[in-house]
Amino acid sequence: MEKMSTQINIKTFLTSETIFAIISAMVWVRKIGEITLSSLQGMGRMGLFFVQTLFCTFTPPLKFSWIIKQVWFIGYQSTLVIFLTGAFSGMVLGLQGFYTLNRFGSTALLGPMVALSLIKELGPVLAALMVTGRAGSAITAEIGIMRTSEQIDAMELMGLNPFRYLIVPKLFAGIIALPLLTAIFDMVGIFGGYFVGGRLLGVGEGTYFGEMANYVGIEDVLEGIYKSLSFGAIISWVCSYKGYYAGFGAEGVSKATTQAVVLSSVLVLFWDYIMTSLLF
Amino acid sequence: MIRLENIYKSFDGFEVLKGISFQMKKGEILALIGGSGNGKSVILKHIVGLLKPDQGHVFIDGKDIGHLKGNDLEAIRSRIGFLFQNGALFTSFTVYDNVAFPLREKTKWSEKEIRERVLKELDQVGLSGAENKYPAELSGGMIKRTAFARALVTKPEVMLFDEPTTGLDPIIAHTILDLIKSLHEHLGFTAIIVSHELSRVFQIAHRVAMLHEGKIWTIGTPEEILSSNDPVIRQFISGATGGAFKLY
Repeated sequence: MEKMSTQINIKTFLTSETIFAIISAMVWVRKIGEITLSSLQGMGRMGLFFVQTLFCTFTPPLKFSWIIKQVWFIGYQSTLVIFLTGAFSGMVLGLQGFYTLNRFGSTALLGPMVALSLIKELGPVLAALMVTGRAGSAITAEIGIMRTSEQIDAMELMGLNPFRYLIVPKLFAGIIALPLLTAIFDMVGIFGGYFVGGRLLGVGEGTYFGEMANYVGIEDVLEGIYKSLSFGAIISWVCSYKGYYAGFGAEGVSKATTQAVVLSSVLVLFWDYIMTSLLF
Repeated sequence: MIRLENIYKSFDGFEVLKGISFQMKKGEILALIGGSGNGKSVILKHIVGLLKPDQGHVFIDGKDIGHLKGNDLEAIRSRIGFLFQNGALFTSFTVYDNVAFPLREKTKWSEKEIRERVLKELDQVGLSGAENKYPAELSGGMIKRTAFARALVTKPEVMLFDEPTTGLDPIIAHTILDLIKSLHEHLGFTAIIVSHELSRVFQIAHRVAMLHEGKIWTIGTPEEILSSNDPVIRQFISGATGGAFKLY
């Protein structure tokens, strides 16, 4: 009797809707498993790519002419866009800062506010995001096209390590160029803030720069430099990696380029948070 | 000199090579023929270690290239020249720099010695005067010839030609195959030519291997292949549609 009631209960339980729900759940579990595995595989491959790059960085020979060419491309050619972004960011900070500080009667602190915002945070982050958009995407596209047109294979077959010629110079260039570009961004931004706050809204030149000298310390400048150094490495690493493993044809390269820009931008912001937490 | 033993290779579950085995003697020219997508280029990439077999071995002078790494792999590769289907020229370099690149990076020659060798190679492939052009300014035939000069500049013992005549007009295609023949006579390299230019390739190859359904369908002298009664071989050579030959 008890056995019969169990059988009836199982039959009642196993309706077509229940079976469908169980199968759907299993499909979802499988999908989640697949996504997790492929993400872990991707992260592992990215990590190995970085390790291989570092290995080639610390073992001779270094290709100096290739590094200089990349510094010119990533650094020098990004100067104009950094100049414009820095100028407008500083001007907006000057404007917003002036009206906010005016409510508390402390417009004298406009200089330190603009400088600290730029040096510690906005300079490194915005410069990194602009370089990602301008140079990072080009790095991915260049390496991706070299991969799909078998230029990287040709290099390997000549007995040459493509990491030495293509990836290491870009890593060096990112690390050298980003702090310099950030410095330009900060400088132009500070003068942009002064132009709006000082020249247009009446904060005195002495007050603006004098208070800045009082409140901005070397540790603030170092924080910005550390951040921009690491952002330079992140951009070169992620964008080179995405290009190196780009899929087939124009679609593969365009997909890799989009992924590179999105991933390096997100990683820059994520790493900024981590560094800010650690450096404070 | 080159020995392939029972090579199997799949891509995304699709089995392209199903037990490829053949061997070649030093100085021999082997023509590798077969339908498009049959895995001819895949075989060449296994020989230079760009692809690793799922199963089987590739031996070059007795060394299993699938198990070589670092300097050992570089040493074997430096003895092999590879002509890619699309040339694979470095687009940011001029013709001269493309050909000079392996010498600059792999030898300690002076720039004068490199210049002499590069100009000689360019002259050999009929590209004198094109040194300062970029790949974007070259015709298909010129790209192939530049790539040929780059592959030859280090005087390799083995040359692998991946469809050296594809996309070229018949005259340039024949010129390139004649060039391969004359340079082979002069330099004596061992060569594999993947080509669909059957009539010409049959004249310069010592043996012909036909790839079909992932296997070496047949291998023999050009005369043996041409006199074969196998319907697959007959159809492939004649180019007739709708027969035993399976398309991919």
